[in-house]
Amino acid sequence: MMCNSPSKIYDNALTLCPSSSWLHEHYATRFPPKVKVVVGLAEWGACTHTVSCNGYYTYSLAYQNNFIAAGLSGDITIFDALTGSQTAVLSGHTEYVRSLAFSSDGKLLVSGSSDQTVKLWDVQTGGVVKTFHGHTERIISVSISVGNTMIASGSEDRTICLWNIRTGEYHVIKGHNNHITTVSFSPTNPQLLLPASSDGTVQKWDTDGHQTGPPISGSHVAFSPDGTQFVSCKETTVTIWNTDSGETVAEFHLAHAEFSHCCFSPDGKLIACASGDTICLWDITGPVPHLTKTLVGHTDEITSLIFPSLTLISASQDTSVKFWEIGASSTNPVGPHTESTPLTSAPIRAVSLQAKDGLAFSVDSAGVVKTWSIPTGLCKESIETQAKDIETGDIQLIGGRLVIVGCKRDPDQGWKVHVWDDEKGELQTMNATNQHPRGLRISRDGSIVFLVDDYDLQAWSIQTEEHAGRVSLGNILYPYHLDPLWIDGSKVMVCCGGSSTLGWDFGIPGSTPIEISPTFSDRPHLDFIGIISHGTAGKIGIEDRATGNMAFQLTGKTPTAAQWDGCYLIAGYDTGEVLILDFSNMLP
Amino acid sequence: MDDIPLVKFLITGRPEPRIRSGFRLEALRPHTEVFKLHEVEPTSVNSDIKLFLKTRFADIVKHRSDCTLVEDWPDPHDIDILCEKAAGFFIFASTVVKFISSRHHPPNERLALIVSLPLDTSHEAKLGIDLLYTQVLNQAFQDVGFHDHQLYSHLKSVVGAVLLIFHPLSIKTLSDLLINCGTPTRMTSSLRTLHSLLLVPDNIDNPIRIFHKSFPDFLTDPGRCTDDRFFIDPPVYHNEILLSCLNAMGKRLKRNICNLDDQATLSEIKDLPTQRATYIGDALEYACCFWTKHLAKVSSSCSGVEEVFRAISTFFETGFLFWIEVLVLMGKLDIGIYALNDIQQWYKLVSLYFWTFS
Repeated sequence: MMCNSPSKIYDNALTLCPSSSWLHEHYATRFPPKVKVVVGLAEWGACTHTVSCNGYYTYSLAYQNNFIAAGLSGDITIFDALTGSQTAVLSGHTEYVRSLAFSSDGKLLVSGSSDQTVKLWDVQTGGVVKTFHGHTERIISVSISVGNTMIASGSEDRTICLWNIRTGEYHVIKGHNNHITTVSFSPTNPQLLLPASSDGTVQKWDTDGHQTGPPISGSHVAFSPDGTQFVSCKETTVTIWNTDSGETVAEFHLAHAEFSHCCFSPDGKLIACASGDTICLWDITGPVPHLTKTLVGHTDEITSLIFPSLTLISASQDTSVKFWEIGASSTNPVGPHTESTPLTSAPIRAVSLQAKDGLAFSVDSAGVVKTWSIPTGLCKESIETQAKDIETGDIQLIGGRLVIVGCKRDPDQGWKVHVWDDEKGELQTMNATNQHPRGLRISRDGSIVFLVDDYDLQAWSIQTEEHAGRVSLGNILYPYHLDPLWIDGSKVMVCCGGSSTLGWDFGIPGSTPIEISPTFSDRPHLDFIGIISHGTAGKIGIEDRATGNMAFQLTGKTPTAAQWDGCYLIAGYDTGEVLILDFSNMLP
Repeated sequence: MDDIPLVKFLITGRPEPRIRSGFRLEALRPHTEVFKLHEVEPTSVNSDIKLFLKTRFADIVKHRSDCTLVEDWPDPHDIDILCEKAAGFFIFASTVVKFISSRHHPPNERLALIVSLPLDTSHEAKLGIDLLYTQVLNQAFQDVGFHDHQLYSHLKSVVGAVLLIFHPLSIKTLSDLLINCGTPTRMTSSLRTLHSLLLVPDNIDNPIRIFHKSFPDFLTDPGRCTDDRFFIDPPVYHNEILLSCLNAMGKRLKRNICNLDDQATLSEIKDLPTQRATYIGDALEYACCFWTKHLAKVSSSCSGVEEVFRAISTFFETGFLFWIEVLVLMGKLDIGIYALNDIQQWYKLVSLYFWTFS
């Protein structure tokens, strides 16, 4: 947006600069923003930039000298890692390119494709040096040996082929009972090969085809930079192994994780693992590895993870590639998953506004509810509650009582809606849905709770716990809206991810909700658009209803929760930060 | 490409690695033919050069009624010597012609100077041009004392800027941008004697260009240009240009530099190029686009590095957002990303240097 409107540099970008930044320090008082910052962000996000991959997603990332190679369908696209602009396309494969690896000198690129061939490319000219035929099924992984003499390729034909780069001769390693999903050469020993198979086992081989140890459990493996250790991950477990002895060096777990990718940092001090759309970083320098950071921003499964420098690069099915700056500060334990975690830094799960009383609220995954004063921007109160690990929720101060509703996943029975208050603790629990909850709100009088998931909009009476109605939406909520529900008395408006809004009146108890045309009597001028969609930032910000233009955009970090009341916007982040903006100057 | 059979494109360039590799792409190979000029048959190049020299000298005979030149001037033997010295380098021939056809000197005397230069057999071409450049420069300043430091220092600032800028600029813009170059009139007078080496247009609004890359190569190589009056040490002059850029940005950048309506989007602005020319101007646009390119060429061990350090800090504290604004107005925000990377790289080098040596 800034690219098209110079005034947005001051009115939008500067407004969002964290209070700790030099930009804020030197410019914020010189150019007071139109949108008043009630509570500002404290720090920049770890994600430095996002490259959009033209609607494709990639399983193969390779990095060399500020260029990224990514297999997008049958072509290999080279991106400038600084600007994200496309600099070259290498065409030659006839089907999906699944794996890429640069030679250590950066001059050669190896690709493995679903077309059952391995190709070797001259990076400078973009020409194919050699094509290797031999596999009988799709190739999933390739690796090039130190010294650049051999290529290893792993395929769905359950074999590994070892190719002599100079002569093109190859031999086949058989012995796995399933698809080969990863194959890596040791970074120091050109004789040592580490493949993982889709049956969840890892087997060390030498290049003559001899097994050099018993199989171990793991669905993804990666060597440490010095080759003395390797890391494997499977389901909730990450294991570090000694390469020579095959003994376990360390093992750590994360509840509910489904680890799919793992790698060492180039200095060997950190391990990055991907689970779903999240990246976890462990510091392994101490006696016990500890989780130092979780990187949130992708909106779909991570498909590839590389760690070539102080920047970590990830690709996801959300069709984007993200760059994460992993500074030295990552060694302090933060995040919700360790016992020593300071409570303030847990990810925010729900935020709400009660502007007529000058209040705003946030609740994080550790159950800490903070009350913010809108006039002063200060945190008035911070209390620990039982509302831990909620997915989404709402908080209201009703008759002096702080009422919290939240959705929690019950391992056996789908999602439940819980109601707490600050005096009595948990009040009610209602079985809610098997679908992913997307929004949960309490009516302003505190009598009804509304829930929207991927398919339905439902309501319950808080007093009686009785179901007060259900409307089928039919999966129209994708892409997701950060703040999908707007309550106006007994009327509920659902902002769908697209441009449409639907409305129902739940006013008559016991009868079916009546569809109404959506009205926003209390937000006539500005709309909140909070679309979490494929890759790049989605579209999150405030839209001018009259012109349809984005008047203010939340760029950079993606919020984990947001609420808009027509004048104030509150957003919560995975870092525990809360942002409250006052748009009253932009209202007529 | 197969569908356009009758069109041929002639693309010329120095054999830089990127150009060479670009034409080696498999898809381009069947459609392109590469002519390496230095590999073309020397006799055909020589006959071209000879024809060029003869034509130009005939023109001089026609136009210089002030000197009595004979009809068949110059002697064919002299033309052979010139061809031999050109060693296939057309630029040499054209530089020679420019030198000889100077309106302020008798052409036959000038020719004699060139022809009498001693032959060198080891690096015929390179030294031929170097000697020519040396000769031209010595001639140009023969009436100036060796110790007129003020004159030579101004000359070097002007020529250094012309040779080291990343995009050709006019005398007017250079004078506007650079602290040490003075007024356009002063610059024009300094460049007066160098018209055979630099393409200096009559109009001060048109860009100055160099005839051939060999001239900056020569002037910036201490092994080739041994005369300290003319030798241009690139880091020193990049530093000078950099400080001028930072100075211009510091003084002229401001919020809403183009006086646009609040919230205006670029697509709505009528006649943006005119607005840019009026309110920003070529000098400031050049400074905004290229200052970090000059920074990257400033040696991290240079004596003025503290001054650069301070100037950059001030820039970040006062003008950074305005700089971004100009890049947005130019539609070149991506330059900013590369520029920040340049600065980061430079800081790394500088801190490494200070860490190692102080």
